[in-house]
Amino acid sequence: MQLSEKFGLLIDDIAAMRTTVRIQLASIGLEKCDQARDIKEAIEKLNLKHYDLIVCDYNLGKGADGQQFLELVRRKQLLPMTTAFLMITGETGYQQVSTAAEYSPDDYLLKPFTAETLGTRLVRIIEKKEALQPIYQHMGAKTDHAKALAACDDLLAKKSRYSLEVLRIKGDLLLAKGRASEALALYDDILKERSTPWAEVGKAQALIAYGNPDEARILLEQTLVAYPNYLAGYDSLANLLVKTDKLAAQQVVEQALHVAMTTQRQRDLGALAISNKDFSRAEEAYRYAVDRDRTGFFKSADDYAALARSCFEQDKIPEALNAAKDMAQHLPRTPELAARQAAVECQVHIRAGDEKAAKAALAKAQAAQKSSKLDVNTMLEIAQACFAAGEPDEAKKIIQDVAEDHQENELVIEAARGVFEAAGLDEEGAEFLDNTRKNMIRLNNDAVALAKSGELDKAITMLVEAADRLPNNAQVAINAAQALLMRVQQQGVDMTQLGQAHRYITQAYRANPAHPKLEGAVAYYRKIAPPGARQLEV
Amino acid sequence: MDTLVAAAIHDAKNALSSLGVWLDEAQRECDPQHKSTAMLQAKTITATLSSQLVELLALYRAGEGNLRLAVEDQHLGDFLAELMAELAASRPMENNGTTATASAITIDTDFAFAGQNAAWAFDAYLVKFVLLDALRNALRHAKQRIHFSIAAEPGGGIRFSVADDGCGYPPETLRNETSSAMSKKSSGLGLSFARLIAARHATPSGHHGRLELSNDGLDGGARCSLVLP
Repeated sequence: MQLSEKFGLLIDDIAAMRTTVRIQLASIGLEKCDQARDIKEAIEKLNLKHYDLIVCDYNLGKGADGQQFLELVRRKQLLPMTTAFLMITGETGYQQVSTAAEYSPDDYLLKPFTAETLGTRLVRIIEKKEALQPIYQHMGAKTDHAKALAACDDLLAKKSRYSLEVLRIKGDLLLAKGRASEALALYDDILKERSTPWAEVGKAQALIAYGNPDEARILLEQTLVAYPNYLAGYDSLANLLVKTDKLAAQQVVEQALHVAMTTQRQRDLGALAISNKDFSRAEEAYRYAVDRDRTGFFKSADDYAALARSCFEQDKIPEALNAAKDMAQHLPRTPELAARQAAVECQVHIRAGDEKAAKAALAKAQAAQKSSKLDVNTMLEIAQACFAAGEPDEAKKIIQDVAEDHQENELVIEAARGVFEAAGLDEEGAEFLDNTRKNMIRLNNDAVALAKSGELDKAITMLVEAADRLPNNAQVAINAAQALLMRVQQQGVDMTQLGQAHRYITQAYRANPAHPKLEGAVAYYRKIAPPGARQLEV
Repeated sequence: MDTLVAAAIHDAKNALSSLGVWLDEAQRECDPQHKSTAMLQAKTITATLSSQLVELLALYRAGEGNLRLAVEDQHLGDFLAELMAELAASRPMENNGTTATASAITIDTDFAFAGQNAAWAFDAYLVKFVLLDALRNALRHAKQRIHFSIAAEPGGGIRFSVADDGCGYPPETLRNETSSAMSKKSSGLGLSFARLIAARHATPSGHHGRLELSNDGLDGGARCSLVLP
């Protein structure tokens, strides 16, 4: 492997450091290397060109760090899995980087270092990326779990020095597909030889998926005693506890914050603190999230909205209004943002007893809701404002739309539940959401029953209407596609109906690529579609 | 969050690393061809001081309840290769005033285990300092030979072992008196650090690491073993 054939990107906010590292890189053969001085420049460059490796300093100035950058670009799929990422850090950053949970750099290097060490490390991680390429090519924006798993087994059979990395990826893939017993066997096999943090936490995850949360909890607690720096352990434990004991979950996130003070974790803590009605702690957490980041890349309207809520729940009206105002000032102005701001302000005004201002703000938010497609969080914020302003029917209408559309997304349903709870309507909310769920099941069942009793056209009409109304509901889209395909199978090829089926399968894929029924629908399409019909590229 | 003391130790370490850079620069300005003995000696001392500060920081953090190891899988082959390279780089001078190349001391290694068993989970940054300390200490005391090995520990774990053919540890060190020292010249910092790092390595099932000192090294010399769970 020759570094001279590779394209590199060097990110550091300090010009002198860029020069020094640039010289070191050149001396080890990496001549083709672009530079970026901040996250904005780096993202622009990543959008334009493919890089084989990125060398990034941990400290990027303006409250931004390389770890945040890595999380951002990996999450937004701006950085392919095959690009190697090396983080350069001082000893302070080392703690944060070495403990990173979900998105960790391929390697990190402590300053000061020699060109030779830099070269050894770069070659090592690029070779690893190249060896794992057969797996990575099936991962990313569209992960094909079956193919990726097959590639894992292929590489494992070859017994390379990367077997451990392959096993680690394989465990994650198995867990993502819900294949709990296989994942459990994989982790047990490793732990038989020795203990290692990722396998302990992986085993706990497998135990949870297997339906054994109590054993998982004990294992995670023991794991954190032995490996108090392993953030994935805290995340896993907090996720487990959040379902049963939000106070305990909040404590776990507090512990994780002692290990690594990240914006995402402050956000998680804030959300739990709001659920636990610990509003002063929530205010502190969200204030950290919005204040720390002076680049604007890492904060969102959600943070400001939550900050405003934390404040007005404590009757800190001016602070709450400021948070709503800051939201508009620090983020790009879109109709969505304006609606969000108005919905937040409405709630603050209600709290302050200013009904007139509240009504005006709510009207503004509702107007935006009618004229443009808004994201889930903005919709739910408007619903919350409706409850606050004494318009519960309006609120429920919005929540029903959201819940039907995102029926299979636990996080959204949980957020919808939160809206009822914040309005003091816990029981009503639980019942309402349960009914929504039952309605969606009934819709699907009725359609299937119609199809079976020979009234396929009626079923198609029903499902197509629902699928067009609910673009994020994968189950409905899959059923619509299947009904259409049945029709084609029974009555001969109809290119329009085939085209519709294609569209709904693609819609389902976009909504939830991991939906268990998706593979069946894709296979059905491929079986029915004649040569020359549109190919499914999922 | 680090306290003032931790931050101060940290600053001192950074200052030392700048000093190292300026020493290199001074060497270049004087005579790039001929390595000055005084300069090499100074470089060796900055390296030693720098590790002492790392050790001090770890002990301080442990006292404050803030020391958390960053345990993760390490490819043992890579780890040992880097360790040996770092040892060579910081070994321009032996304690007796001879340069490393002129030194009579040879280090034999047995890394067969690392070849068969690719990885183990530990804090590479801190363990590296423990082992470098043990090796430098052996270099100070060995007459001719040092044996450095890694092997499986019966019942689980791995054992790094550094043995030399010197005159062994003094009895008070073997009796585990913390006030005594690895060598008469040192404060015992290295030993306290090594014991701390060994003990802090643990597994969820409750196994801990340990440091073992004995005088069954080469020809009755010292042997220092780090066992990790």
